[in-house]
Amino acid sequence: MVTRHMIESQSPTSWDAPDWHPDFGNAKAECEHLRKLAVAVLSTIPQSTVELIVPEPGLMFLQIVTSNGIAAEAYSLCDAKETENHRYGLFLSPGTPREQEFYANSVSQAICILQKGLHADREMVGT
Amino acid sequence: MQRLLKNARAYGNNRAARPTIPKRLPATANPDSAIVPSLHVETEGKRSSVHHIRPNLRSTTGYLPPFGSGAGSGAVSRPAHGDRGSPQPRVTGARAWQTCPLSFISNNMAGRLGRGQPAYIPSPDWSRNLIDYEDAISHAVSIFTDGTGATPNAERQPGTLSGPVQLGKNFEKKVRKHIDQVRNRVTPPEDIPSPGKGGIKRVAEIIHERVAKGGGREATYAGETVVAFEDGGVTYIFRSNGEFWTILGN
Repeated sequence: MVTRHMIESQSPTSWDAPDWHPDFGNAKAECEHLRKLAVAVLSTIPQSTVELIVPEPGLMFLQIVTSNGIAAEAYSLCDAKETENHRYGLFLSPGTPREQEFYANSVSQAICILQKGLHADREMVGT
Repeated sequence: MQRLLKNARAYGNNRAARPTIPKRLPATANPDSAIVPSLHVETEGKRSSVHHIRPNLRSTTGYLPPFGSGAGSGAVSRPAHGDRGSPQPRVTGARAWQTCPLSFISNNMAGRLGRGQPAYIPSPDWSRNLIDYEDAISHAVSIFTDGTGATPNAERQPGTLSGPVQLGKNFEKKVRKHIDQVRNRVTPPEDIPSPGKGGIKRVAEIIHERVAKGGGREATYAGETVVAFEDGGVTYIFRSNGEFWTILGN
């Protein structure tokens, strides 16, 4: 099994979908779903970078980094029965006591959550 | 064996309440026949080997009955602690052979039993040692099986794990990806907190509890043989060695 760790943070358009076993799900669809969000993040959240991380076959997520460090992790989730319907699982300040969990059905909804969450996080860090 | 004992201690067994285990371990006539390197365990990220010792020492000494068998109890019983100085009854014939000191056997049969090596040289506290070894082994086995019903050297039974549940280094990420599925595995959904607020711990508990209940089934996932544990609307997928892999929706 090949584990890939892609670090092309500023160019999500060049990301290749991992070539993993079909049992892990549709890697191409998942990668596309996260790519859309990554492109939107780069254009709407200033000074952010994005990274597609594949720690092991079958597991992929988008890491959003700002000047304060890792700001969020985004996962592409799909309903077992409706594999075409993807939604985003968003975890702000992951791995910290401030971690917050959200779900979004669209890129615009996800961006809205990220902007609000990052703004609140900046204020909290600032105080 | 030292590692085994070290691991047994590391798992919080109350060693203080039991006799001290001597540092020197018994040599055997044929080491391969008694000590079987068998297990790799992961403790807090450290991987180490543990040796499983066959409990029937009679095969190496021709003297001691198997643990718990009761055999030979009419001829000789293990002296109780603090009673080692009591006079032994005079016996003859077969019983004399059974009751003769282990050092005699080892010194006189070494050439025949062990390629010139002593068959078995116990310390004066041999009975206490053996009791302790048995206890340590049984404790270690209970750790390794983790309630799965599997034993270290036994062939894995279908639907069981051959080792303890290991959640792995990416468990936190896997929980984030699947936590909502785990919440909704039951109706009404379980109120699991978000991962950073106890959700990771709770999902780990749920998985451990499910495995402990048993009833896993053999399956193939991504070309590998796995053990699947269904839990309401989700299935936990494990590699057969106990390594947690993923959560699938049913």
